[in-house]
Amino acid sequence: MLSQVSPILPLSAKIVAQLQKADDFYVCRQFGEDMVGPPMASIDGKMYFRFMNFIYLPQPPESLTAERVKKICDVRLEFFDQLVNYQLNSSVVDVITGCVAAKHANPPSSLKALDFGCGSGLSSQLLLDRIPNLDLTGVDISEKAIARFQQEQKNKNIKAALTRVGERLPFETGAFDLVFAIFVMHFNIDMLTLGELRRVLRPPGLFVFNVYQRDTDGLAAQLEEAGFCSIDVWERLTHIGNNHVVMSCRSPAR
Amino acid sequence: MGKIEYDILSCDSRVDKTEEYLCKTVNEKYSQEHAQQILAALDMAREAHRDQLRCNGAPYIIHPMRVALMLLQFDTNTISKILIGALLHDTLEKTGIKFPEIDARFGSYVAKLVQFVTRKHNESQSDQEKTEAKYQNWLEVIAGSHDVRMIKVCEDMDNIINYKSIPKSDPGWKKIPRWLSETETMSLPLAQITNSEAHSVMHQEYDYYVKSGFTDLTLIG
Repeated sequence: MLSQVSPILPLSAKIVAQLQKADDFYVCRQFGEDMVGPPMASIDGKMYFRFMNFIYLPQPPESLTAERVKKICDVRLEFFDQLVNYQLNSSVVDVITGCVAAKHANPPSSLKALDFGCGSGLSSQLLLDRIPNLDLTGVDISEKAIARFQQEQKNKNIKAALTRVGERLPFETGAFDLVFAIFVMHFNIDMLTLGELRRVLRPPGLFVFNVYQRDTDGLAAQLEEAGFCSIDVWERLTHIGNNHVVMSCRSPAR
Repeated sequence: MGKIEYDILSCDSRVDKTEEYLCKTVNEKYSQEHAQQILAALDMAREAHRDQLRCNGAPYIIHPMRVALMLLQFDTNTISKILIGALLHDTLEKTGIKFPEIDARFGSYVAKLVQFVTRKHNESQSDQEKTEAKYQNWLEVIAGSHDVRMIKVCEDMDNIINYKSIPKSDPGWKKIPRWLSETETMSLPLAQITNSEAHSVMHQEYDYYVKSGFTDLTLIG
């Protein structure tokens, strides 16, 4: 029949033995560099896509609905210590704050910032470690993540709010000087929310984020249609792989 | 203007009604600037396909228009450039339009989307070669982006929905079993990884053909 070799490979027996089913995706219970499977794999004859190094999803990350994204983020919380690579997050936030330092006209002191998709607060903490005077608010669609955020950050002065997909963000127009999205934009964020991020960003405020496993031209087209301007790739993180980049864009003067 | 009755998931060869419904939907959803671009792409596609017909005898332009409408039905996050890509999706493969024309008129992202869903195609290919070429393109689409996959899913969906309207006298009718085999091995898995709702609708269509005996035309021919 079809003579071409398919790039969709079966997983090794070693990885299969470690797979745990959670909802309709799989998590590899044992973590380690030698346990990273191929980007696309077949499990029981069905196609799966690797997400982070240890989760296999039935759809590529950018095709997941918001409900699915929420479920995966909750699994990520459950396996937080194993799944989340602190060093990787830290090095990405270094590049993101480097972009702010280079592109923001004023020194980032006492700036109001939004951490979009803040999860349980790791990204917010990493941002504050580097820009201590940020007045930071986190938002996320996961109740579990926000509950964990509030529990872990209760002695610190960072706010966090739960938001819902398809609803406006609970902030005034132009409320923020900066918007960050750290390990978020590989998901396909709905256009209403992208428009909201532009609305709450005071011109010429910067929206800075990292993205990987996604066509950046398509994302740039979405941002442009949501009303952002000056859409740039700030740095290609070639040492990380997966087409990982840090991008920025601005809210245009109205 | 009254409400336009249009069911995108049924066979429909009424070009005027389809266009009316598409224009209405586009004008409601997009800004004036983006709607103008989309309608300019529709004009370009209409002109390029003007002498071509679908297997069911309908003017060819109905297919890109329906693909665009399906994108709007299944993916609320469809930006104007994806819709433009959908309207032009067959122009590189089936008309004289070339990549630089699309690039110059609608930008590199639209041109790239169209190129992604274009397969190497010529009339002298054997059935086996055609299926191989489709499979190669399928692998590229899978490894492409959500936008590319979504256009391809909607393209496949419109083709599948319309098999039943192909008359027995058309050479296409005899190809239905091969196309259904490609639906099973390529279109359905692609839809499954791209959009659950589209996958479910496509599966129902596929089941209809299987139950109606289209996988072996000797039984119904």
